[in-house]
Amino acid sequence: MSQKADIEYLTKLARMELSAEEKASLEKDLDAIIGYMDTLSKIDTDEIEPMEHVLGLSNVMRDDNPVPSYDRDTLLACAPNSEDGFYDVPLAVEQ
Amino acid sequence: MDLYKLSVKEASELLKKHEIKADELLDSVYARIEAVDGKLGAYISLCREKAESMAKSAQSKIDNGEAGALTGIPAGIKDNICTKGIATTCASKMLENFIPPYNATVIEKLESSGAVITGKLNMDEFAMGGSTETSYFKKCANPWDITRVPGGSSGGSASAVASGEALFALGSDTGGSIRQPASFCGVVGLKPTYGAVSRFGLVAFASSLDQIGPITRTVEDSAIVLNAICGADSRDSTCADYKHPDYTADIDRGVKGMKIGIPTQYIGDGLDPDVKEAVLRAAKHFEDLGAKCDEVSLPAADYAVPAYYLISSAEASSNLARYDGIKFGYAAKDCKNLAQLMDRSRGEGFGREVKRRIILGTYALSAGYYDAYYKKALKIRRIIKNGFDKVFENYDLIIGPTAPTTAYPIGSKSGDPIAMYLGDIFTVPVNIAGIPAMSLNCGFDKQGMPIGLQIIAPAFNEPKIFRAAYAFEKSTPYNKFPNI
Repeated sequence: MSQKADIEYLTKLARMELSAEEKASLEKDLDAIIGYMDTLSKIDTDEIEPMEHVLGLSNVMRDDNPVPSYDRDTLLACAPNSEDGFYDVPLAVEQ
Repeated sequence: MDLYKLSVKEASELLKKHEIKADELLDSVYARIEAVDGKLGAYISLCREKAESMAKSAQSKIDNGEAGALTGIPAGIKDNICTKGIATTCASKMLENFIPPYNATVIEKLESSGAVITGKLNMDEFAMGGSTETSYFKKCANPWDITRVPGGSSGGSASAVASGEALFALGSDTGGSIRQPASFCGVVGLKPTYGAVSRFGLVAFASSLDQIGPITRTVEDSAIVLNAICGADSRDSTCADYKHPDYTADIDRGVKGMKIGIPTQYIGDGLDPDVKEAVLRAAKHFEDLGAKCDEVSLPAADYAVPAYYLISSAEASSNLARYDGIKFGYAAKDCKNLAQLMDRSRGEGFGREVKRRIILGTYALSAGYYDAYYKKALKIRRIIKNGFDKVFENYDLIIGPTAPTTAYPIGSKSGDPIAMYLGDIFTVPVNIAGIPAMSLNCGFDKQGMPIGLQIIAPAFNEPKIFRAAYAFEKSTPYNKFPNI
């Protein structure tokens, strides 16, 4: 089932800008790692149900009790860039 | 007396008897850090001023007769556990300047029990690694031989506890990150049952596998710390609503009549001969103590590592999507638009191993590969879980090595990811199955490096682990302090 990973496509999906050198070295690593992961194809799992989680939980519900949240200044203080009480980001929609 | 060498239990008793003061104990630990951390690199940051004020309030609790088991005890915290007002970096450039506005649940619990937080401990970046060599800030060394790795990812936690730079530490374990460094540094590391300890405030790596646990110098200390940090939490919906017993209560009941399995797959080829000898000697020792040991089989053991790396990397690629250079963490400079801010912040902020895992996880989850890799790994997960369940129908515990080797020289494996991943072969199945396991020292190899024995139990059977480990520790000469 192995197929060469398309590193350009994967870095786009993962939203990471990498240098050409990084891409080359990552591609080499990934080919080896995926080759190793292919050992899984040797084991027959046709009759086995996948297990996402050991606890088998889904949609844990709780009462919707309002509690105090963090104030704006505290959270904005974590941001690398903020201005006038807002997160400061570069242009989001091209004009 | 070197106060930093005391166990949690011993220090707590001396504090309550007013034979030592909380500030003396803290001073002794900081003096030790000053003396050895230049060589070890176990701490990323210290918070002495805050620690001194915590020691002061611990002392007034003691003076008022309100002391608990951890009141006044200096503890180090792995740097992926959020501490309010104290930088929490995950050993990454991405979070170099992140100061959390809140405490993790385990920190709230430690603080309310009076523990004194000394500082934040070194680790592999985002807990991805087995040697603490992927830390963005600095290398960390093993106190038994400073040319060797302390293991990882909680390498700073294990190195600090082994060398007396903290009386205990918290680590996190996604695929062995508490047990393997405990093994390499000759201390006691416990990965509790999935859901026993709240993960709220633990920086997420692989949410279905991550668990916080104690690294201590004795088995009893491990039970004491687990008592303090376990319990349901409305802020972590995967944290079990379970009535935890007092984990120290039956610790001295011994192993007489217990049935212990040793998986054939855990003592086969590829295991370092000194490790194998020590583990088989430990099994013999348990028989001498009155347990019955048999070889058992854990099918699919060979598939656990690839399944683990697929599941954990897939979850990581999703969890680490939050680092976008906007709300917190590193932001690239002079970006012309929003997309570039995200792309460049992530490209510049993450280190090589983290990028490798994000890309692997992205691949495993991408269209066309999901069934062949991610879903396949989830099926293997069920086979591995069923394998443990079957053995536990007839056995109380499983024992084996924690790691296939002892601590190796710094730099010797860092260029070969698969060799590094295979070091997790005995620890990852436990996370995949969500069950508890401990590593404790069971001897030394020919170079004098500690060897870890892993004791595995069914979910929420930590008391059995404590009983066996305590009986082993009390009747063997392996619990030693390194000469550094």
